Amino acid sequence: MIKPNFYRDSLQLMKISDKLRRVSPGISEASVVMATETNKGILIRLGFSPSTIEQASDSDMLIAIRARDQTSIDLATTQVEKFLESPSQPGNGDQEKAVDIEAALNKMPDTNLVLLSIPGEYVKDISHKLIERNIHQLIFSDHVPVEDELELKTMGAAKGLLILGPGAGTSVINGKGIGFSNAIKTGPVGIVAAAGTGLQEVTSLLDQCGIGVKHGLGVGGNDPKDKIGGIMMLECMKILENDDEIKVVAIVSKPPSPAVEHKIIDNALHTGTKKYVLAFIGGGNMDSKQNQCNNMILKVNSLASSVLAVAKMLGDEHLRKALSHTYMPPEGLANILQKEWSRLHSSQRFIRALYTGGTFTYEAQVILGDLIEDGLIYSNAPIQQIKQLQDSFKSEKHSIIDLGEEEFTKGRPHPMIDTTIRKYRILEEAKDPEVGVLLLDFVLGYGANPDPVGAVLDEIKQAKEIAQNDGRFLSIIAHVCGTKNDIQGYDQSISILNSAGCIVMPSNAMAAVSSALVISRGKLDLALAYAKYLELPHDWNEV
Amino acid sequence: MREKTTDAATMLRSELNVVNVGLDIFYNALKLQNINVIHVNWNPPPKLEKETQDLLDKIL
Repeated sequence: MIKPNFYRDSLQLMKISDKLRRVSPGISEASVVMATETNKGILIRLGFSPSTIEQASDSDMLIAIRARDQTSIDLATTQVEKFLESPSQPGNGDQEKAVDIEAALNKMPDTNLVLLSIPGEYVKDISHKLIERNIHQLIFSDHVPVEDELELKTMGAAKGLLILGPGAGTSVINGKGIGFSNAIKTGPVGIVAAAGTGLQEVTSLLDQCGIGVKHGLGVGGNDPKDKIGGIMMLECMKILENDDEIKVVAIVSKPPSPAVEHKIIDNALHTGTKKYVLAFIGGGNMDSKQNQCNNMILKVNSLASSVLAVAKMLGDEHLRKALSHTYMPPEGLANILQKEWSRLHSSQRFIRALYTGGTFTYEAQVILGDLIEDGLIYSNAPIQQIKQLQDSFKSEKHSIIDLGEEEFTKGRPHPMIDTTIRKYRILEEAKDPEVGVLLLDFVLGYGANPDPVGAVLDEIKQAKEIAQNDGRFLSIIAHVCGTKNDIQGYDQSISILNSAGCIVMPSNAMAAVSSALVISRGKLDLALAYAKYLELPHDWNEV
Repeated sequence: MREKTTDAATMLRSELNVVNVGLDIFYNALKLQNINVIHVNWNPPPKLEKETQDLLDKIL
């Protein structure tokens, strides 16, 4: 059924779809979605007739119901209209609402930050008007043209405004999370991040070590590229540099363009008075002999090692604590994982990683690309040495999938919220007799699914059963990104995964190394893997 | 119309007053942390209106 020119945001529609599935036991599938190409493709994969679906355009809504009888369909059709008339309201009655941005700004004249999570095509006009009104912004939205981003950031920087994003999934201001974020303590660390789940991983792991973060400013993944030139990254560095409460500044990013990296290092060396940790994932380590600034800068290769580096900068006592909370020695790791690889059948040769976090996908590609034989790794968002998947919905050999990419998310909630596609993929991968390891991330915190582990638990159990019924063992390696104060329950999430037979690792980097160790049946240079991705550069590592 | 510029460092030192435009999960998350927030239940302008607006923008 098509509702022409009818809009509700993807999250409201996900909730309506969930409610609709529960209207009658006769309903086996119900999807209410905006008719984006992504959603149309997914409905067709779910078996709905392409002839109706293809008539819908982007601004239309599609209602797809599969039921065993006409009564259930009639009931669903009536109910969906009611649900759409009264979309779910935010909050529980005490909320402040406004009909539009103008009304909201009139209601709160001292507004100092606007958080935008709307379709990317509408961002430029709104952001432009907010800049004219001197209002700082965090732009969660993706799919904003890079030319628009450059224009907005140039205008914003000229007025001393923060334009965090587009594509900034998270930020932390005075220890409080904006966007996807975790319940952390505030403290002496400042972070500039061009990597959303990277910022969540680092802030969460630091929190687990008892180290707080005052500000964590997400600038969006494009910022350190040449086209943007690091405009906001450099602005944010200046702000953190001038904050007396901040002792260590960490920069978390995929490797910036050489020109931007040069500016970052130049700033840190020549105008910086703080200690700096540069975590350019896969960008290489810097040992102390290369450091020419009294050990004030430490460059590391992974998110996990950046946590050790920050701890080291704060003192050896902090490093000891960080090692005890976020690190597992190689011999201990091998002992645990030997029980996994010894159960694999010889035909099980491949890893399938189904990620909700974009930075986690990137980091896993860096690590697995380095540790696994060349030419056999595919991704829908490949980095340099990784092959492009022909079809993002179909894995090949080793596949590392970013479920947050456009083909999965345009017109749908982010996979950290909506687990529909990952559930389907877990079962699909389990059916493949060549798959030996499933690698999964679970991101807790504000904005995320209220129970990301519980939401896919049935599929995890079914995946294990599918393999077992076929005479195989499927190893599932997971990482939970979160803190003990996150509402989803960090310890409980790990405990449930362990009970379902999953191996849970303390960091994404360690989960990726573990996957490589299992699929290689222990034939991995573990000392080298640790040196590159899980420890500080050797001569910094002594406590 | 606001005229005063509050620079980023000042904003980061101040109490946050946020307008959340779009997904209500972020409104709820900010409320949970006791941050002042107003939610705007945003809808895109109708397609024809945007096209007409673009046309008007060009003419004017």
